[in-house]
Amino acid sequence: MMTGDQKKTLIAEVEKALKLWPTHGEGKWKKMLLIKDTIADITLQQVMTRAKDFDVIATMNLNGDYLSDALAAQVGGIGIAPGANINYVTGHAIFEATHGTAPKYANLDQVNPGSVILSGEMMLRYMGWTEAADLIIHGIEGAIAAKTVTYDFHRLMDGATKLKCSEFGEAIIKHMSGASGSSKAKPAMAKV
Amino acid sequence: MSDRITMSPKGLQVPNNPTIPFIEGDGTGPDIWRSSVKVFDAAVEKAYGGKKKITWKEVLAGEKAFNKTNNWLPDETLAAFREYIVGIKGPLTTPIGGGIRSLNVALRQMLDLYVCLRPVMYFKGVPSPVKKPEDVNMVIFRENTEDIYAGIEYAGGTADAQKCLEFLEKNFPKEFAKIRFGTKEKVAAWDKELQNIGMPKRDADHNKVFCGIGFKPISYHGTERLVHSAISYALKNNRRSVTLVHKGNIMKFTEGAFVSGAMKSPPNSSATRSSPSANPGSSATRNPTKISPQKTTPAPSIPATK
Repeated sequence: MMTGDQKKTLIAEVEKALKLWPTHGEGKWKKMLLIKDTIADITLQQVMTRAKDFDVIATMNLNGDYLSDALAAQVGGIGIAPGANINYVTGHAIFEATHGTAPKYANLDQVNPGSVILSGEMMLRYMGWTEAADLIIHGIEGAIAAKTVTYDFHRLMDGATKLKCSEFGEAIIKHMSGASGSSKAKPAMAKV
Repeated sequence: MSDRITMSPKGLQVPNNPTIPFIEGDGTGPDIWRSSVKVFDAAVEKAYGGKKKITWKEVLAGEKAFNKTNNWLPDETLAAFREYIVGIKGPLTTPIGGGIRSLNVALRQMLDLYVCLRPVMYFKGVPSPVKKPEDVNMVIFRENTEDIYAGIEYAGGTADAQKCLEFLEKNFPKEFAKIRFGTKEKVAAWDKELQNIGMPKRDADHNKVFCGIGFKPISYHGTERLVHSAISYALKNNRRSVTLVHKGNIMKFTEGAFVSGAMKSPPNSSATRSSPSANPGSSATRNPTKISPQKTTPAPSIPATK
């Protein structure tokens, strides 16, 4: 156990050591963006085994198709993965559900609305309405943490409460208020 | 009173009361939309206390559009997305045997939506098949207008596919020779090998050439706009890295050119057409040659989509 002062000294020492010499850019590398390339097949292994090495990914149409579906499965998010199609030059953007129509569940008020809700979250962020987007992330985090989820998550979670599609939306709204006391939303999707 | 979102050189201009078109979608779409729109309105209301509000404008596509207007994708829908700039849609049925391959693809093509943006993040508590799903926090920029998804392909055995094969045979005989089953003779030789291990003789029809042909266009300009979007996003959001994912080791002048293009090296006009084994171990992507785009020879035109 360290005293506050000891801790401060230690942190200062570490910071000093980590700052590289003037000949090496004085640690400016920390502010730079690393651009690298990897071969697609190896990438599909490494997003599993070394997920932390990947951040923004730029790729062609077919590789991107495989990769985005594989990653959505990895985080358990097939039913809630959001998507957008954007032309950054004209500004045109269509935000969309990434799942299919699942006709056998139509009008049963049963399925997970997460994909469209998170697509809307991306849309609000794209519009610059960051505060509203943050509230949606906050609400979803809260609803899932409280284990109030739709059937698709419910069947895989212990001790969860099964909600209808409409009820899950209401739970998200309820958890926006922060009354749940959960951690502040981190805008993981940030500026689109 | 609602207004339109507009685009200016400074970027997107969003009024406090924008009109946003939405397609509710087929199947589970209406259920999902009813639940989602309440969430959107509640978030906006809570964040801005009534100062901002979205006016939702329903536009039709898919089954609902077909039932009401006899058209899977009415012109008004496309016009609305064009006019209001930003829109949202639920899942759509792909019409079977119709003129349109996919409504999603049609919308993307008509508005030239060249980035498919797919963020992947983990929400704590979501059941996942891996040990550390929380390590995944990635944003995928998938190119949306090129690659074999451009839809330029010809079915094996048709006159169109035959035309492609003949074009190759005439202009690029060396490459044509690499097509494993591109001639009747090659098909017959394989058939004979099978007969040698006891396969019954099949009718002559079976020994025709059945080789589907697809084109994979990857351009410098298509690469540039996609990669610029990804880098710009990474910088704005303090991301650490941008990873270019490709098979440039095998497809040097499409996937490989994607990497060299991304690294600000325009297409290498002096590269030989096809020599995958000439340079083992060091792909073209690792030795980008500096040639300005103006100096390069224009790419040969690609046959139009059927």
